[in-house]
Amino acid sequence: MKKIAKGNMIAAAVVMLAAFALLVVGVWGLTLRGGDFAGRKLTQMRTHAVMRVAAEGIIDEIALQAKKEARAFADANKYSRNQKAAYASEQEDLARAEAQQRFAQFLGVDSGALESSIAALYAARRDYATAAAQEKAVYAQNYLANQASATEAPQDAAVAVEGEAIPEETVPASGINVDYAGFVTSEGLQAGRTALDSLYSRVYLDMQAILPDLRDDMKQDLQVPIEEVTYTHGDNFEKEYDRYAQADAERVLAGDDKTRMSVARSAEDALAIGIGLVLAALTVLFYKELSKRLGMPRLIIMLFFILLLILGALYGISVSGMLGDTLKRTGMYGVLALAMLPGIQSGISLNMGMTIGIISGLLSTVLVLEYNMTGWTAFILAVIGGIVLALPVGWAYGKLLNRLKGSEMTVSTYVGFSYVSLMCIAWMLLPFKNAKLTWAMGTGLRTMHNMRGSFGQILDSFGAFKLFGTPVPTGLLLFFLLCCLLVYLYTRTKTGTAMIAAGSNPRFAEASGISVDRMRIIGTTISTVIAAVGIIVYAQSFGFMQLYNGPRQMGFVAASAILIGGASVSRAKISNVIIGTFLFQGVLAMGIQVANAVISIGGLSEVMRILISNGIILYALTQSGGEQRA
Amino acid sequence: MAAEFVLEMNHIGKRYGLNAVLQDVSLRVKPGEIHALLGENGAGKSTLMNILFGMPVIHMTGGFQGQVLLDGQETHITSPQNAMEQGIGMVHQEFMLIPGFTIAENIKLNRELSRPNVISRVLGNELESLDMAGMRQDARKALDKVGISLPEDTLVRGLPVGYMQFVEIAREIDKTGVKLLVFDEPTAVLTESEAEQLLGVMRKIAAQGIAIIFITHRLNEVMHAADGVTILRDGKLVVSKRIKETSLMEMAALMIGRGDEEQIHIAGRERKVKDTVALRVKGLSVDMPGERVQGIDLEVLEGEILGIGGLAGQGKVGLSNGIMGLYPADGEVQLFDQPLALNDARDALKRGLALVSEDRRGVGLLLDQGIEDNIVFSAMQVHGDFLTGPKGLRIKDSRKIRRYAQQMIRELDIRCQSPAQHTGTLSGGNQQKVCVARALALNPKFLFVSEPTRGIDIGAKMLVLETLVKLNREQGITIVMVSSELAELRAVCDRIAIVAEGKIIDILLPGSSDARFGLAMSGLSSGEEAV
Repeated sequence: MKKIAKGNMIAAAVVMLAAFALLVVGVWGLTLRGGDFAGRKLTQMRTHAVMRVAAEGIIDEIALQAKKEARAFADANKYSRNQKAAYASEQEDLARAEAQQRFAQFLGVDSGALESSIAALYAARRDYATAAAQEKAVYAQNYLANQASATEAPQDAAVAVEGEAIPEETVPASGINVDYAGFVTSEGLQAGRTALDSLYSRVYLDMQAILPDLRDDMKQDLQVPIEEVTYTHGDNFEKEYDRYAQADAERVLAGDDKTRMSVARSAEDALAIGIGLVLAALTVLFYKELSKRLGMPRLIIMLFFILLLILGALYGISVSGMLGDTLKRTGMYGVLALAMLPGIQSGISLNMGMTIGIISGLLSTVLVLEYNMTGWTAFILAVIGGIVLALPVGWAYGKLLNRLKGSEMTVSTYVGFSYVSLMCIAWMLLPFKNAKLTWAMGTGLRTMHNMRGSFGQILDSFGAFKLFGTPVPTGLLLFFLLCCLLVYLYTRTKTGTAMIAAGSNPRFAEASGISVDRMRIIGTTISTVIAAVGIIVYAQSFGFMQLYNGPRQMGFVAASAILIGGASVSRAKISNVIIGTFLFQGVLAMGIQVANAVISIGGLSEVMRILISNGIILYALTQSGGEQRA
Repeated sequence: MAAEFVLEMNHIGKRYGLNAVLQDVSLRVKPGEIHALLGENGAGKSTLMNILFGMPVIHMTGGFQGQVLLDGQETHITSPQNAMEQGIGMVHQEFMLIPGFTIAENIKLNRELSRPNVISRVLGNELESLDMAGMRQDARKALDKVGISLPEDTLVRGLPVGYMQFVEIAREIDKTGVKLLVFDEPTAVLTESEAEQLLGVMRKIAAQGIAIIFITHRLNEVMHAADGVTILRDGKLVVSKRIKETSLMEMAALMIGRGDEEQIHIAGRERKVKDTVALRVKGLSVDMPGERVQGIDLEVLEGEILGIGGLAGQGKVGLSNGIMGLYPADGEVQLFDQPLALNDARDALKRGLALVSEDRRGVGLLLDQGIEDNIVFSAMQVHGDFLTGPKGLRIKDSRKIRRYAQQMIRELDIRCQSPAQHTGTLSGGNQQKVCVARALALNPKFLFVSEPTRGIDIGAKMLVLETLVKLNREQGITIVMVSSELAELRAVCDRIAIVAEGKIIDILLPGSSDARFGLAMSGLSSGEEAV
């Protein structure tokens, strides 16, 4: 155990104390939420909010009536136009003020009957909203799938701006507007609707008992606002509390109750900040050890990652969802990042030309789709095909790099880009016949292909389970780790050790009778092959496969991941790949979500996405020197 | 009023950290004198010249002791620029000429003559126009002094090497007020006739009253051209003499002579040299930049330790690297009477040869891998040792590697935290031991060891040498040891071959006289050519 500096100790202690206080508050709040008290109070607040909505309806009604009467009066007395308008609005305001006096005061009314009927409405409403959301999601997926395979126009919306080819899962969902015109509610849902209607009638009757001014003809108009204030899809404790508080319902809470409800309301926030502070304190405490083990950049990114998690929690983004996203993306991009490893180890530095491997993988996948293969057969055949196709191109590409030693990064970037462009022509010309793949008119393959119906999600769903609400794509992660294991075993073979030696010190390798050129070719070929497998894994997880300019920037994403993981352009380990992909994709996924939550102006999300992803890539490239030798 | 000496350097001392590289050295040069500065590599010649030119490396490491006098006046030279202003010029070993410029332009580079013009009056004298005619005239004058009839507007590109040297000299002479020129091994890159011509030019310059300090290894050139000589050895002044009062033999002996001081004693050596030839080399040439080998014939006997000595850059290192296939080689090599394919490192290793390279960090080690991985690397690659698992899927046998590494660490006394420690973090001596361990893991029958003690401290030095002797005696490994340190060669070897200018000049016994070693190092065989 290293000695810890006194200053660090004190700072950590102070932070820890604050964290402890927050955690206590958080736990107390959660117990309050779990207990009867909070539920009862929340129901009271809900009732108040509902009555408030009803009262607003009455007030509006009275004001409208007053306005009408004023106009009639003005017409009768031959007021001028301006006079009439002024008189009307004056009368309206007066009536509204008077009505508010009369109707906004319903404290102390016995609302026991109403409370129970509202509770029933709340429960029914919650079940109904959940079911409806599920059905709509299914409909949206089917709709998107049909869109993707039927016409070409909407997919181009998904293939974002030219040159921006780091696709996000969110893109197809947000980029295409789902037209719900064709949505038909199921019988179960219709039954739920009917039940809701009768429950609402009961609530309305109970309300009329308290507010006699509630007329029958207002029932129809008030149904939607009242139902929405009762329960909206996606509600949780905080959202409901905030909504009722906005309707001035905090007034039903007397004295102590108010404080306790506030604590319950802020429980999760307090917990999130508390955990954050605990982590901060630990970081302060073990700062030296951590920065030595991980290296400064990884420490910073890890802290940023945690900060994003906490921010996400504060802004009401589901933490388990964010973590699940991160896991999925780690598996999705992991194999691609792994493809960088043999390149770096064999001495060709960052293999930006891994796109040639990616294209081999795409070609093999397209072949599998052409013959309408599905399931595991399709996936395994695509992987084998990708490997077979990548071997010769990788070998030839390695030969090329050997002729151009010293400027591999430039050459490989250029080769990658030009190969993508060359293949753009090829995708148009290759004689594919399957109508699912080709353009509706003319020849050539379409840009985007839906993997549903072939092997989309096949790894993701294999053995998938939920851990504390976090979806874990077991198969995907296992496949990634399997690839890592294979590469690790390879680096322990005779050829593998020779390859690493050739990369880290060519003259040393030559002195031991190793052909450095041959090792570089082997490294490049392996890198290319892994890239081919990587894109297949990526496509099955993403659910879509992009041809043409799709693979162009993949190299940068993979390079950034491994650099952030602590590799340099001449030295890399498997751990760099795993840590790097996790951090890079984690920060990227959460950064975008959090940024969207913080700045929720429409259209800015895309800008934020580009800013964040390219910002991280830029930062990663500044790390190309790697960590210091231990 | 002219002082007797144009340059006096009195009682100069210099240390780098704890290491004294110059102790109480004095150098005096008269006007118009060609003064030779002699010494082995590391004798302190370059440090002395660095002091003379006020190089930053001197100031940054704490300055020097003693005083420097120019024309009898004490002076402080603060920078190379300052040295030039005070009339000290340097003719570099590597030419600092721009190939695309003419001779005149190169001579006047950075000291161009210029005339003001309209633009320069407005924007400053950086933009004045060049006075080409004046510059050509100056260049002509300088070239005439050197004795070259070449037109001054010829491009430097394509000139013969000798002429580039002359242009370099002309540039120094053209500087106004130059009174002292330093020639740093000027003949090293020249052919014999060019060298002769150069010596003529030097005498011509000296005749005009400019003093010359002439640094060289070639003793006969010294005898031929110089008036006085100063010999340094191990940072100390050995002697300063008139040439007339000395002889070739004496200079050679003084340059090498160790006397009784600092002898290395390796205990209990019993020789087991057989009559069979282990390695036979015929007409070997190696194209190793800076260490070219040009036709070496050599026979190494089984069981002996053969030393290869000589000055830096003469080709002694090229021999081992050439045979081991690290640099393109040509010729005929037989190992135990079987011909050995050249330019094939793997074959050489397979046949039982091994090399401990002189370039420890560059060729000898994988700096960012652990000690154990370094040690077993070659054996794994060449013989397939230290692997486990079924055929075709064999991977590293960690346990076996660890055991072997620990054994080596014990035997060679490698100081480290663990066998997995990166070799980049080890000290020089321990790195060298790892290199030796790696060679030993190959179970070699014949070992090349190149500069085994370079850059390591004295304790580690003895240990490495003792290890070599032990290997030779106990395991019967024939060793060829290349070293710049004659003392250690004489302590360890059975015979010592001296290489100069890419050829073996002489093969001497450790007990041969200093003079014979000195002569051989300067390229003269002590047989018939010796005076």
